[in-house]
Amino acid sequence: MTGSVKVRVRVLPGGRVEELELARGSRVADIVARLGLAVSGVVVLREGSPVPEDEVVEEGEYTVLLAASGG
Amino acid sequence: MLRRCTICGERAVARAAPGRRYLCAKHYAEHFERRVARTVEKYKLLRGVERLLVAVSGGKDSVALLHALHRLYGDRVELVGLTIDLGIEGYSSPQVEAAKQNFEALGVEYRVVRLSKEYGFTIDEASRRRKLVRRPTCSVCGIVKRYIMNSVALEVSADAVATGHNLDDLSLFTLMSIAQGRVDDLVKLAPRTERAGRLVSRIRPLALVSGKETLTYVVVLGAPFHHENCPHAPSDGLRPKLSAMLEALEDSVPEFRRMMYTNIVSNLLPRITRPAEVETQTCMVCGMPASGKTCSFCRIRLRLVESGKNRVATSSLRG
Ligand SMILES: [Zn+2]
Ligand SMILES: [Zn+2]
Repeated sequence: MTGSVKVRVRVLPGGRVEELELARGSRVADIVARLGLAVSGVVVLREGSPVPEDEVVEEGEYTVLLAASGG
Repeated sequence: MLRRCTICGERAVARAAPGRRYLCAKHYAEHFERRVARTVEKYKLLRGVERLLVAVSGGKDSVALLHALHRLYGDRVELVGLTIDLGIEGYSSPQVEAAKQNFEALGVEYRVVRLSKEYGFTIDEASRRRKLVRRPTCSVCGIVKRYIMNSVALEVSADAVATGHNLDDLSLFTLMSIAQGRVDDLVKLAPRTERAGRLVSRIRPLALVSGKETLTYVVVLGAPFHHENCPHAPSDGLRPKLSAMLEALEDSVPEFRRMMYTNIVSNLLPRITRPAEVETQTCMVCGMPASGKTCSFCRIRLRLVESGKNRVATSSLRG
């Protein structure tokens, strides 16, 4: 297991976009940590559907929805 | 490697709780609704409620509230929807639109109250002229929403008003009330407050689910919701800081907020003797409960609307 995966992450609301490079085998929770956020405060979407945070990260796009918004 | 639902093997969307089973969209929705049902039973939220006003802003929490109540109790309780157009530019319209789409999709009867049309001012105006109003905008907004919810509840003869306050909101308000010494305010954070005169009972069926859970629920349902920050919400200060700290704490101590809130509700609230009803007077303008001669809503409205009339008068004199 060597190398890395590249992901493009969009954070909503706000629309901030981050290009991240993570070690292969990283978990979705690692994306959240790299953004400086708490797992309890977000829902991570892959192709419009939520994903469990212990799922392994795949190359491509993710959307991070902030739970403390838009009550 | 994708995670699979522990129950049916479909693609998982979340875990029931940290370290617990994986759930697919369908089983997540059922799990969420069960949690809401347990809250309703635990605190007897629907006791004596035949007709319920459901306040829906169009954000994730109130949309989740409407769907969960409709699925769980739609056949037993008459639901009436309410959405308030607060007149916040770029924010209120898409919110109201999302709320309406949900009412219509579920076939729930509803009302839209436009603050500008019914009462002659908007939250944007209250913000622009906050020196005149003498209150922070979020406080004005809270007073406006509570006042309109209560008036509509009386108008449609609802037995209670349901709001979408979730565990994040309630645990945050709990800590703020304690930190700021407003211990009496804690009783307002109970899952249910009883009717007092013309103040209709209020219930908070999402009290034990987190914002993350309501968000996951509305996404898996595919229900339309408006996910933006209110332009008037402060981005700095105690509240957002405490909110971020509570989320971080929840990551290291799962279920902390639920534990704190349920313990406060069952052990601390019964010891707070509700201060002799503060709102014992009747507003001389509108007849609603008030703490002085005029209720806080009418005080705000009169400041904004009356001074508006003066401005028109002055400009027409000049013209
Ligand atoms: Zn399943
Ligand atoms: Zn009044």
